[in-house]
Amino acid sequence: MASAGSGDEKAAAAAMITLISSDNEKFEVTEATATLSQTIRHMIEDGCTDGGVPLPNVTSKILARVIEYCKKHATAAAGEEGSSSSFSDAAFLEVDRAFLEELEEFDDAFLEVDRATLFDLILAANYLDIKGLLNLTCQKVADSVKGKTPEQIREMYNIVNDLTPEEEAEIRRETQWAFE
Amino acid sequence: MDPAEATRKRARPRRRRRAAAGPDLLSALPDCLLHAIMSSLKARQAVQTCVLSTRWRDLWRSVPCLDIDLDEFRAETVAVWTADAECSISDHSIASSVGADSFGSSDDSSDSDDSSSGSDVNSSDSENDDISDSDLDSSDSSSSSSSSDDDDDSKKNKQWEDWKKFEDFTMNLMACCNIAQLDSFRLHIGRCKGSKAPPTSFRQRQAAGCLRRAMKYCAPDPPGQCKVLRSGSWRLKRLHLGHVRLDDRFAKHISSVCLSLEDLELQDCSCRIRSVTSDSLKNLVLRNCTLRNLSEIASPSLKTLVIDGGANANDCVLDILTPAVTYLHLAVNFLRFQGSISTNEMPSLVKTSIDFHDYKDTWSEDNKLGGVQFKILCSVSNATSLELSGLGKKVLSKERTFQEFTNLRNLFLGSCDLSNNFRTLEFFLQSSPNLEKLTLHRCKFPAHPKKKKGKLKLVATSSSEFHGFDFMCENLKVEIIYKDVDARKLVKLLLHAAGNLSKNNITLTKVN
Repeated sequence: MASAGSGDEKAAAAAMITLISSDNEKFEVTEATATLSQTIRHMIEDGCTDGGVPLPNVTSKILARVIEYCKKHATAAAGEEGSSSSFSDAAFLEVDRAFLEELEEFDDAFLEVDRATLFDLILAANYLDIKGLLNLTCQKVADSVKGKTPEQIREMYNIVNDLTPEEEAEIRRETQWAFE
Repeated sequence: MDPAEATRKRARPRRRRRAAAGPDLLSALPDCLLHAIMSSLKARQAVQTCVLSTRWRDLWRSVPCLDIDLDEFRAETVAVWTADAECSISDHSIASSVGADSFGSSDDSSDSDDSSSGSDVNSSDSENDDISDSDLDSSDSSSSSSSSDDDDDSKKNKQWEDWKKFEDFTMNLMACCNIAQLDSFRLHIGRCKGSKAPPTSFRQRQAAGCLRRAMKYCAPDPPGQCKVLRSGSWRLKRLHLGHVRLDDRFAKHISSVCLSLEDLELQDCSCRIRSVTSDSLKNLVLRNCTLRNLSEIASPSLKTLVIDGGANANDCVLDILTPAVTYLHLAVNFLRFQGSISTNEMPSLVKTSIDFHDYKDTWSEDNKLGGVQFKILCSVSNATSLELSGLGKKVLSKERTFQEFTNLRNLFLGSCDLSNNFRTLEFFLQSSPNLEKLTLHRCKFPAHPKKKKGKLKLVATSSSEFHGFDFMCENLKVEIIYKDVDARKLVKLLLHAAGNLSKNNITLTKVN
């Protein structure tokens, strides 16, 4: 069982996938890294990754960051999947704890980006269907508006209030219970 | 219409905004992503986004996760001006240009200006406010007439008012949003301090009422749609309730209507529930719940079970029938679970942590409790990692007991009473042939190890009579974290008992 598992891993490690960004830059990644993206996973399953996977919605700058995230988290995912068999020994549990902490630090550092990049990452994570990255980036935006008033949120994100005073008054009347 | 286009079309220079400050990246996100972001906000703030712009107007109505929390309504945490500014617009829309101007200017100034302009509006409000209900109104005017916000009377009313706002909000929101269609729902009443606060039982009942109505009237399909099998079930995947009174109707709802429910977390709930059954649950957390008569938790799909704190009715045995559990966390005082907890076989167990709350207890001499502890240990014998805290010295009965912990790799004993001449420790070492790591964290050791040196050796010699004892410790690493005890004796004992245990594999750490 254990040997079969490691064999699979080796096979997965050997299989490389080429991702092509919107500006035609090529990135070669392992299948384990690439399949953190459900979108790419499905493409691999359908056998349409020969000659590279074109990602017309993702620039090379963002794709490089996304791959950085996936590489780091692919190792974690491998551990999780194997935890019921060969990984579930004492050594792993300890490594597990340390690794999770490391992963958290990585995530924190990863989010230290300007706002435009953050939103590009959200869109890329959504397009590539990478759940962890999507949660991480959306949470960052949510944290930034938490406890803020609508006015503060508008200012923070340059949201133009295009409601007429009458409209706004009407909305506030409808949802008065949320503003009391 | 494309939202960006709509924004452009409707944008008016009427309100002074820093127009060219940058693109509005947030509003440009598709609905599903804005929903994802809003799902991390508490419910009131999520609803309040409706006034941001046209783009946001109705987004809240379809947000898939609601988190209703009394904390969001506590006076301290609420930005004063939001409520007041709202009145300024809805009540004085006749003077809209003036109101809008002052609104806009406060936006450009600092936060403190915001709140001061808000309170200005407030005092004028109380004169001609025709919207808020009368009791709120009267207290508004009383506080402004006394011109002291820290007035005793207003303090008294504050918590009740917060509660009323919370209740109104919850009622209205639950009338607007169909809980049956949500992914995640959290209702948390929190703690209210002080005698002036609405009593807990009252709040629990009110919250229960909200939930009851939702359970009764919410269905996932709009009426008129053709009904397929199971169409009456809720979509809810996560349900988290805090300080809510629950009864068997709720339990029935969980088992027969919430067919997609995966996470159920109850915190500080008062549960008159006989049984929690579900075929879909993956995670169940009961934190500090008062269980009146819970006699069964049955779920074939359950992976994680946490029972932390709380109490159960005296004579009630809690049967846990969850064969697929991989993580079990039990941290209960068995004096408050006197009916005991009985668990079935859990062959998939990986990690188990049990806190018996026992060692520091004067009742720990009770043999019955020891028996309970042992029975639970037996039921978790498949675990690969076992963390035990507060294990009493009576865990083993007088007779020799046998139980194999075949899969056990990692054993952590925290604050356990090992003063029974390390018999408990010996038991684990003998029963766990594959143990790789043993950690003793601040355990109680026998009182006079010096005097009993000879006896310890005797124990060691006698334990080697059990076959495989030496073998078992082949790969063992031992870590002893101790405070006021003499750990060297234990090291000696271990080295003696296990011939091939290397001294290098034992680490000692003294803590204060």
